[in-house]
Amino acid sequence: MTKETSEQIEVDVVLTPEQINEQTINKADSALHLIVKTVETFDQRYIFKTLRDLVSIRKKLNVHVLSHLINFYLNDTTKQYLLQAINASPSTEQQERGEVLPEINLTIHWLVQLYLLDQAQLQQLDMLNTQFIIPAMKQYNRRSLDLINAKIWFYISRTKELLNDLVSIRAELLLALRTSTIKHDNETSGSLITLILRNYILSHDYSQASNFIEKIEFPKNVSTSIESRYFYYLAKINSVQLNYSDAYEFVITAIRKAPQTQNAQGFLQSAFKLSVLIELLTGDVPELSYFNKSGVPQQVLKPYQDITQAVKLGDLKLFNDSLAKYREVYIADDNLSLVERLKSNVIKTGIRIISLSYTKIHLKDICIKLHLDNESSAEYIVSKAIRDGVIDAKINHQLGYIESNELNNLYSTKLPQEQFNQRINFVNSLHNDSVMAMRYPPSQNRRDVNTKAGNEDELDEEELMNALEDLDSDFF
Amino acid sequence: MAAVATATAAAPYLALLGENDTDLKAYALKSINSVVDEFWSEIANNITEIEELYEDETFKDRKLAALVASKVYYNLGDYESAVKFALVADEQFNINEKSEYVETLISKAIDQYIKLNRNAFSNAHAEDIPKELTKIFERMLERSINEKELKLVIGLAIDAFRLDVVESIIKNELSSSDSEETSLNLINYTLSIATSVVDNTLFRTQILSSLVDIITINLKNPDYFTISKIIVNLNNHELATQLFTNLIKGQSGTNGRLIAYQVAFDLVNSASQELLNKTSLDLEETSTSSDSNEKVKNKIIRILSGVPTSDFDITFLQKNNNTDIQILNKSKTLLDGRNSIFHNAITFENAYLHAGTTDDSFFRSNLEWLGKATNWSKFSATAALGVIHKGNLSQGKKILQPYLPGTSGSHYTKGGSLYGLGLIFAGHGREIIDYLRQHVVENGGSAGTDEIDVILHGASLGVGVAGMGLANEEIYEELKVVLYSDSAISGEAAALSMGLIMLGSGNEDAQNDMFTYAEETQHENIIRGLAVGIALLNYGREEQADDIIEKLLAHQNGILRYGGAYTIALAYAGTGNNKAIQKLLHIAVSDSKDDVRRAAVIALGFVLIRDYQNVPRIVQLLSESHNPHVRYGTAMALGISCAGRGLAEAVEVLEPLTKDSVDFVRQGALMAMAMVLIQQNEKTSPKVKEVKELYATLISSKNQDGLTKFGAAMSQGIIDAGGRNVTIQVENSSTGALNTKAIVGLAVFTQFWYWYPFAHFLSLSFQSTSVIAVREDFKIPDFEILCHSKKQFFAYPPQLKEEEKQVFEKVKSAVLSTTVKAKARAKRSKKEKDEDEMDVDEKKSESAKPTDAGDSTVTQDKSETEDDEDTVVKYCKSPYKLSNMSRVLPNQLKYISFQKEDRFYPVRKFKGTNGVVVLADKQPEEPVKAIKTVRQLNNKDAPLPKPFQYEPEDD
Repeated sequence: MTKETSEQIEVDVVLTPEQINEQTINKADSALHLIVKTVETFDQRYIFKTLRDLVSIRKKLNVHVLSHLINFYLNDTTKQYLLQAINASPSTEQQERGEVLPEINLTIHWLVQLYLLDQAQLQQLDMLNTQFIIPAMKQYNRRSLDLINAKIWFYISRTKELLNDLVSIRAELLLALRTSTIKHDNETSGSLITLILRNYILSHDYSQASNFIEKIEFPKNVSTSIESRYFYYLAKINSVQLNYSDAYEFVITAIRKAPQTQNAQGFLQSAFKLSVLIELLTGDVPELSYFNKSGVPQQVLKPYQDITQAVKLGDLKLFNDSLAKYREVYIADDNLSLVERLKSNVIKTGIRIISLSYTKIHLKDICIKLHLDNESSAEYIVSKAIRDGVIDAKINHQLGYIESNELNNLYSTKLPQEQFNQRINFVNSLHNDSVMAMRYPPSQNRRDVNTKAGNEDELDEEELMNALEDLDSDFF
Repeated sequence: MAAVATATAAAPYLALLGENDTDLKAYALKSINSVVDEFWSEIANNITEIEELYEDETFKDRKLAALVASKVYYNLGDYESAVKFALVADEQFNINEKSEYVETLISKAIDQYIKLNRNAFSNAHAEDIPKELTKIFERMLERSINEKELKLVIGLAIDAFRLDVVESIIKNELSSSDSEETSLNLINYTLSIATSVVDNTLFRTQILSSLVDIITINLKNPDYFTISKIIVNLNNHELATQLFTNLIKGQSGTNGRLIAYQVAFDLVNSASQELLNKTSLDLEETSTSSDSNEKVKNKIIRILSGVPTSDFDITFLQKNNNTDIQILNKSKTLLDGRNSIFHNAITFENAYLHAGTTDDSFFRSNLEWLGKATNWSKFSATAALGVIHKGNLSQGKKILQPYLPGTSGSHYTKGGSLYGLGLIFAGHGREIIDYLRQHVVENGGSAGTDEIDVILHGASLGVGVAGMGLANEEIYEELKVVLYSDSAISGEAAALSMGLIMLGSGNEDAQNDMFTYAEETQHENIIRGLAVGIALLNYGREEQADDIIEKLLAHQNGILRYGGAYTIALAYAGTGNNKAIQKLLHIAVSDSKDDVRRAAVIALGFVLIRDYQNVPRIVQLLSESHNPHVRYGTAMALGISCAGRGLAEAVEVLEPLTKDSVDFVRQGALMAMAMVLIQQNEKTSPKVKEVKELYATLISSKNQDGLTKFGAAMSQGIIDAGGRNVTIQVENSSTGALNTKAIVGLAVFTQFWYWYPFAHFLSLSFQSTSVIAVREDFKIPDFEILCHSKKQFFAYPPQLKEEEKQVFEKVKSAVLSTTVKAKARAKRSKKEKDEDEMDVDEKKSESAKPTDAGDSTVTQDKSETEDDEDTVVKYCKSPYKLSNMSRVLPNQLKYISFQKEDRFYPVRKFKGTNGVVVLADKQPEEPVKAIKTVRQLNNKDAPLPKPFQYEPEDD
């Protein structure tokens, strides 16, 4: 306490913890007030804003703030177990409140989840999840709860993940997915699908995961953050299952759909890493500029840059060196298996470079250039490369050399057309999506007629629109 | 199952399915069944194997296989297959299990059953419904019945077109409980669903007929009022006759008699003319046993003729006439009578203001103005007399006598008077129709000459209005003769009247005749008449009119497509049918002809009469359309659907339209506003004052277009129509039945776009707002009823002050100059007596702003409203008294009650129905002070005690 007062003398802008708490509570109050508005107007967008506002106070949550909210908003039974969970003593004041809105009820549950997670009280949180929160969610069937439910499920699953208890929650997640699909609760189904996929992937259950994605239909109209997550997992699964071209498309979509905010950095980074690997596996080499992205620290992508270099040069030695050097990093990123698969790509690139430089070359020379052991293995690798379409050449087995065919002019092939078509398709779909996402502006006529009455609502509306501009920042 | 819980794949079990040993397979199935919710995505790969197991008839656990398959399909989201397999799983599928899977599948199964059964109902060759599906449906119903959720079951059964279930439930309830209260409740519930929700007319008829059977056969005390509702819906005169004979013969004595009278009055209010006519004819033929019964029967026939009802209405309107003649006089001075559009405007304004009040003093005191009418404005002016005397059945012909054919007037007055005569007898045409027909027949052959055409035009319209809904083939043929002479003027009227006569009959031959002729003739007027006529003919026919709607809408002729839109409007009026709405919205934005688009938007208003609250939202975007015709349509749609409701949202959408850049849009918006705000005062709709002022300003403004001024004048007439004692009521608020006459009136009224005389049709939709309590002998006792609310909500809006007008005019001329001050000084000396007024004047002269007068009254008003905190109509414990036969607004009705200890009490429990209420008299011997009706006043020699034993034939 003394320390704080002395600080206050020096810089009087610094607030006391009490004041900070008060501010936090005020913010939470106004956010919760928006929920009531959602329920009244059936306009989901207010909930979006509430959740966004609440995320901003996540860092400032503490026992004091939470117990105040719990005491103020909730009824007795809920109060009891929530207060117990955060180790706060129940307040003495008994005030009778009417029906608690389920939306508010669950939002506060969610805040408690956040707090416990940040405090790393995982056991406590897990108990709260399984004993109270899951049953509480099952009680209601209201569309205004969709967004909140989606969040809560995320943290339930996250807790289990941190506790390393992946399998036990699976059945619950699948059940919840079924329920939300039946109720057309798209946001929650979307969220649950990603959670289930994550669950499978973390336990390396790729065949189950691919079974799963084959059978489900990802719902429309879910937040882009969930969508990008879904695409990331799709990319991951597809890449593991050797389906690189699809995987590449998915990972690019995931990156495009990911929110461009600070909170999503972690996701973006892993998506970048995956996309580098997949691009390499498809036989392409990413540009150097790819590794100099603003906002991404250089050293994060460094291991991948090195590998890329090895692949680009077709230098097997460099490849092996980097693999040994960054092994731990790859394991941590869960990308080791993909990196190992690149070995053949390194060789293929080597061959390609050779075939570009020489119209005719002896297998022996290839052995030397690629550090291969003997001619027969070189012959084998080259023939595979020819079959895969990496190079366009012929092997002369008698004389032991390969001869490249005449290079075609790229512009005489269909390739540019295909590229062009792909881009046009992308632009068209972007345009369509934008058109579909448009809303009619508030009528100009109406504004003239009742400028006075509508003012307050209009302000709200404007604020809301601003808030939605950079939506879904918080999910990562 | 511990092993299963930790398993991470179903692959081992799936592998077992491939074994040959059936026991192994059975074991595998059982295991799979227990993990299917978790591993369905994996099991789905082997779904064909599981299905094969089910199809293998020798396999003993094949039903379990079906269950597993069903669960997999359920998880895959293919509910149809899931239901299919669940059904064949038989006892394995436990419908009492409380799981999401079972609940979802059952609800899907019920959906499927409903779909299939509906299909089977309308299509004889539909596929068979699986027995299991029926079984599930019935078991679910049983469960609900056991839980006493009877309404739910009835709703479901009706949804699935299972009349037998509905019947058995009601009958069971009847036989099981002593009181009939609950069963009556159920019957009424069924009735309301049948009339408002069921969209298949054939099935609705079946439900209604079976309800009648149940009520008459199974109920000890049949509820005749419910039956009368059904009769109206079925339009079945045999039932009506039967009902009356039962009531006459019945042992219930006085009460039965009174009930019969009340039912008769109700029928007059809501049934078609055809039904009333046929019922009275049938009743005349039946013979009753005793003299007293004979008397009762004759009285019923008399009520059914509509004469007493009209008499009461007109008495009410005359007695309570509260017209603000200032408004009319002012508009007359401002609008030049030499211009025929303005002359027409004043004619209509006058007609609306005095509709039904029998007060034609305005004409009499403005003979010079009347003389300015030429040609068709003369026609309209004469017909306006008919609107003013609407319902004056006894005097009607006498009043129009000086103008009728056979006198020396111009042919326009002759035609107009015939049309007016029709309007007087609108919907009660028995006494006059032969006279009108005579004119049609006499002149029918010689249509084509100028004079005859005008007379025929009037006579045809007259026949149509008076004989509305008669479905009389002879009249129809007579009109057809006129039509076939192919003259634009008379043909149009005849075509429309053919539709009116055949209103709602759906008569195939008539429809074919009209359609074929519409394709043949060259006259656009006639085609339009026929198009609207076809629409009228299909009134209320819903999906039975779909064929003709398709034919009309697909036609290359725009006028017929226009008719198609109107046919949707009338055939689906008040149903809120989604398909109809979709079709209309599509036409509204895509048709190549403006007229058709306008009609489509207007039609939306008709279709959504019952869901009027949604209309502002639906048409809001259309109201901002670039196409002025669509905007006009929006205004009209709002006016029609929200007529008389005073809905604030509707006013909000209309308001910007009154400032539209296109003149006719402004016109439409003004009129729609008047229709919405009719009978509202400042308490209930604060906008009223503003709107009325707007009308006055527009009329007096020099630079407004003629069309807008015309609209403003009409609106002034509409908003204060019928001496401020009528509203436009398209839906009966208590029974939920549609008011056919009002809807037809509105539909033809909207045709005034092409032909001004049609504007008179609006008078058909005016409904007097009163409670008229009558005794058995049709006397209206002078006593009081109670209203449990505050008076000011239902008061008349204040009358326009003479002074206000002067102030206004002075300000108008107040050009910024010193002369203003001089004039003001002169005025001041003149008006020394009134201090207040002077103050206003001074302010005015100093600031020279034209709005000040309005402002000062507004502020004055505000202080008044602040005194009184209540702004919402509320129930009040302490009622105030109203005398019998006084103005009771529709939203006031629910606060009205009768004094319990009073001498008179209503024979039916009073539940907020307006119109005629039959009273029982506790002391019939005592003399009573009665209000005299118009007919009695005009009929002095009739002996007072029994006025209706005499049939005064002379009038």
